[in-house]
Amino acid sequence: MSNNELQTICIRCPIGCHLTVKRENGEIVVSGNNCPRGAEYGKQEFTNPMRTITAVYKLKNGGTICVRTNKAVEKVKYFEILREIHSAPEPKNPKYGDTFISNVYNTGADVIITAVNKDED
Amino acid sequence: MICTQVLIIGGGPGGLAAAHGVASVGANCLILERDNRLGGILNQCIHNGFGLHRFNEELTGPEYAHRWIDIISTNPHINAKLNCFVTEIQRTQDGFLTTAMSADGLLEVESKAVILTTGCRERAAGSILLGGTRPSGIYTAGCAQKFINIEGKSVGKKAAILGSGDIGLIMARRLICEGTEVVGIYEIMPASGGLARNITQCVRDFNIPLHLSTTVTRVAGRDRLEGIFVAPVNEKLQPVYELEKFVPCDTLLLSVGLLPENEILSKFGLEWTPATNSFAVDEFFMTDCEGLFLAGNVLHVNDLVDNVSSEGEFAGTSAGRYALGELSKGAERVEIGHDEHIKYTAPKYIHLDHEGTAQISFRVSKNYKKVIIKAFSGGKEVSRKPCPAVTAGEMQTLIIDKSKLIDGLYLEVEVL
Repeated sequence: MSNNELQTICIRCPIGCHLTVKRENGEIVVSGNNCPRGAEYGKQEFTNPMRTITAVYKLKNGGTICVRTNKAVEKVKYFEILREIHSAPEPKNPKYGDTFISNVYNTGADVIITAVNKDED
Repeated sequence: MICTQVLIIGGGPGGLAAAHGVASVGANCLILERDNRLGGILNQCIHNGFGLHRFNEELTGPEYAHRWIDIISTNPHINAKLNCFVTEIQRTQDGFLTTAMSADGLLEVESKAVILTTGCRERAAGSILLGGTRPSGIYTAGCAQKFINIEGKSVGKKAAILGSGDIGLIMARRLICEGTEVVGIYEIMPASGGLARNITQCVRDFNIPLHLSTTVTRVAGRDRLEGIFVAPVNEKLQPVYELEKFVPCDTLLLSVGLLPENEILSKFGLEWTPATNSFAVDEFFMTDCEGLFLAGNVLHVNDLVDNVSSEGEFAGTSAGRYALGELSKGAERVEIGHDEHIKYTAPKYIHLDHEGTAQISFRVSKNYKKVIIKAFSGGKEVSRKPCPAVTAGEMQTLIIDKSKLIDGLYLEVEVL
């Protein structure tokens, strides 16, 4: 919340309303939206935007594990979460769907494995 | 020699769904895939946003592929061969003879029908006349995506991106997350062709400079890229060289469009449609050649994988029925007409057989607020779809009940 005003495009539907979000007398005011969903999106983006994070974990012997958070997490924690993923110990026998990290960076979200890319033989 | 009723070339999202479609009508099929696993380009698209329509969930690319592989892997009608590169397709008296290179040597496949689901390849430096030297460090965005996401390699320390389509935007975010500095994204057009969500979540979230109406004029560097020259463009999209400047970087990603990979059909003499860089098909996804089908990105570049899957599945059911001798197309075939607001339709043709439904995909020529898309036949409206907004980057679809067709089919966009 470092800025007093946010200009953004609503992504809740294909119309793509250009939103302006401001804090006026302690109230968060969204303008430019055509529906209540736009107001909700604008407020969320202004106060605490949420993102699903996807990342790649490099395996020591080549190849990767692809992962994602199993729900959206606070955007402000993006790089801390990435750091925790990148510095995690290498799992012994990683498999699709396994939990890679539980409760990553205390967000309540788990990081799950979406793909294992190992060089075959 | 292998015999199958339907041969599917390409085991990406289109091919997987096509196999499901073939099997659903009781025919058998074989998928030939050139990579060492199924899933195609989905395997390297680790970002989320796939499957919202199909599975009502936001999955990553590999997860979406996994779902489909699970669906088809237990089906006794479906076989797949990996590490097979198809080199030729020939028409025979009662079907097709396809030749492929495989780990076991030359492979020949006899089939009643062939479905091509080979997708697209990226336009590279050679196809955009990129000036300057030829150092290392210049990649197509998808090539860099494979190096980073699948092989765990780094492509460079300081990167620029030419083109702001979705792949370019998504790779900008991936580079940042892997510790590569992104100096800027350069887009020759006055607006990005990417989805609004990617502008927000890939560009703005990471404060990446997006330079519109700007292009890369040439590159510099002997062994490794040392930098690029960029310049704003005028209304005719020509660079203003007086304003050219040098931007140091060791990596350049190109996200400058996709081309359907369909050259293997060039000798069939099929009707070419310049708007899609591919061949014309009818509502069964069949080309002018009986028994030869196209679906997914090899037919026209889609923006959602869910659409590729639904096209593949429909082409699969058509090809399966054709192979079983259950697809009759005796009725007259007419070209689908449209007004100037529509760029092209896929399929291009429809039959007046009055049976079943047809799904018509198309793109509008520019962005519009509030429109009604209408379809007419014999002067009567046969389908309509009101849209709060349509954009040129977003595929539209319209379902046509073929029993309502009288003489032809004409699509119109009424701008409100």
